[in-house]
Amino acid sequence: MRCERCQQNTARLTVTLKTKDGTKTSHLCPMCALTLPTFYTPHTKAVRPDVSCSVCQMSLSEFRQGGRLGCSNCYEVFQLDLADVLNRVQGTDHHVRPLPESEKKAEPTDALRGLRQALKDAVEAEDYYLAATIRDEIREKEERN
Amino acid sequence: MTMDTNTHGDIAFSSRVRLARNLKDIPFPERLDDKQAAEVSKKISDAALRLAGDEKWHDLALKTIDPLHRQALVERHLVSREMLGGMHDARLLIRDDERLGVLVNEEDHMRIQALRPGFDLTEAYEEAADLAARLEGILNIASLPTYGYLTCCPTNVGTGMRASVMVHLPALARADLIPKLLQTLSRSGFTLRGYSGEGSSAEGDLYQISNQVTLGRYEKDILSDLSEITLQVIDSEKRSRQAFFDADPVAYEDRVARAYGILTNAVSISHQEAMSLLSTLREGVERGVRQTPDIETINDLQLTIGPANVAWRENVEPDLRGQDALRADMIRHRLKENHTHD
Ligand SMILES: [Zn+2]
Ligand SMILES: [Zn+2]
Repeated sequence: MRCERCQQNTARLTVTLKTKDGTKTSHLCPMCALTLPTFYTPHTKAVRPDVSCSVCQMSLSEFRQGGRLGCSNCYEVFQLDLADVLNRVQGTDHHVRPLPESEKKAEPTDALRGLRQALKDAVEAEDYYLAATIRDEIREKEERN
Repeated sequence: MTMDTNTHGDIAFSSRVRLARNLKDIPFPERLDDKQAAEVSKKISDAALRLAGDEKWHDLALKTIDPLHRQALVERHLVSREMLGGMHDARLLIRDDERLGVLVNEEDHMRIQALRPGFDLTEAYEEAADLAARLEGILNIASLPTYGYLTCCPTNVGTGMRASVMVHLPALARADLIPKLLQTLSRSGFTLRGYSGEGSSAEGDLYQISNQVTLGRYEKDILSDLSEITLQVIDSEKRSRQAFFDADPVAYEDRVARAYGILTNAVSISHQEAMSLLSTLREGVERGVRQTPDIETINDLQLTIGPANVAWRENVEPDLRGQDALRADMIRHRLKENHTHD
């Protein structure tokens, strides 16, 4: 299934929002889910939209409780939380791999340009956790300017 | 790794490498219903048995085989105790020599495991990795550049590799140094547990050293660190044995001789007593206090005198008293066959 928003990426998450007219379910890719204003962060206690995996239906709260994944797709759905879990149990949150060019340090003047490229690379590599971190950094820099 | 050598085969009982792999976008075993589990099981067994070619492999459906047979597989460490809990179309595909196998639908869809006698991590890894790569060639295996191979539990993600060496540590156990050793090991990302896996007590003083970290490191680095740490453990076991020997050589020799005496004469013997005496005998043979039996015979006995194995092989009910007599009989015969004049 394609993502309802971008019509491009695979829809990996099912997001259920409770509104006054009932519940609304959307099938999104992790990148589009990140742009939702109410999307959770790893440190949000209460999860406002109910996020679950489109393949195995594991929900975020179920994952937080059990600490185990339900299928390979869950790794993309819960990656915001996963970084904390992996740092705790493995002492790192990344597999060994060669560093992409954009992650190597960029000139300070080119910071924003570098970050935008890095965001693009991260999305292409489907590394949404990295993408989310870069996105926040870009926002912060833009607000400061 | 240049450090692996079979000269440490006396203290190192066996080496094992296990690689966890899963199918992409199919729920992990604990989230499968019976029908899906059967499909996954079939898909993987078909692939693995196709790759086996002319080699003789066994396909054991763990739900339907005799429970005693299943228990015997646990005692020989071919199936984990946990696997007996929630199994749903779990299978063990195993080569006739029991040195290469695939556990299907345990915690992960596949656990490819290779076992070698002695200290031989390199060979065990190569054999497991080769089968894993060939399976990956025909199955759609789940991995991501960020996380490596994806597994049900985040403690296995990345390489999906758990490598271990089983070591015989009677002197360190006698000197009460096991808890300290465990602390040292866990500081460097390794762990130690008893052969039987329950708590810290170890049947026959056999312990397993294995890696805990599976993410962010290359397989070869994990293996070479594990080799190095195992060599250090072997070295301190040797020093501890020497200290016991030096303190009272006569008592040392006497202990070994008595163990041999009981093992070759007992008419009835419990599993626990037999394991403990075999451990003493093994230490004596390794030190050269005795020339027989050979270590192979002891290895073999240690793996095959568990209650389920005795009952399964002798085709009897696992009734305690009868079983102790059968065990004593078996040990007596094996040790006498192996006896030369010394
Ligand atoms: Zn999208
Ligand atoms: Zn899932």
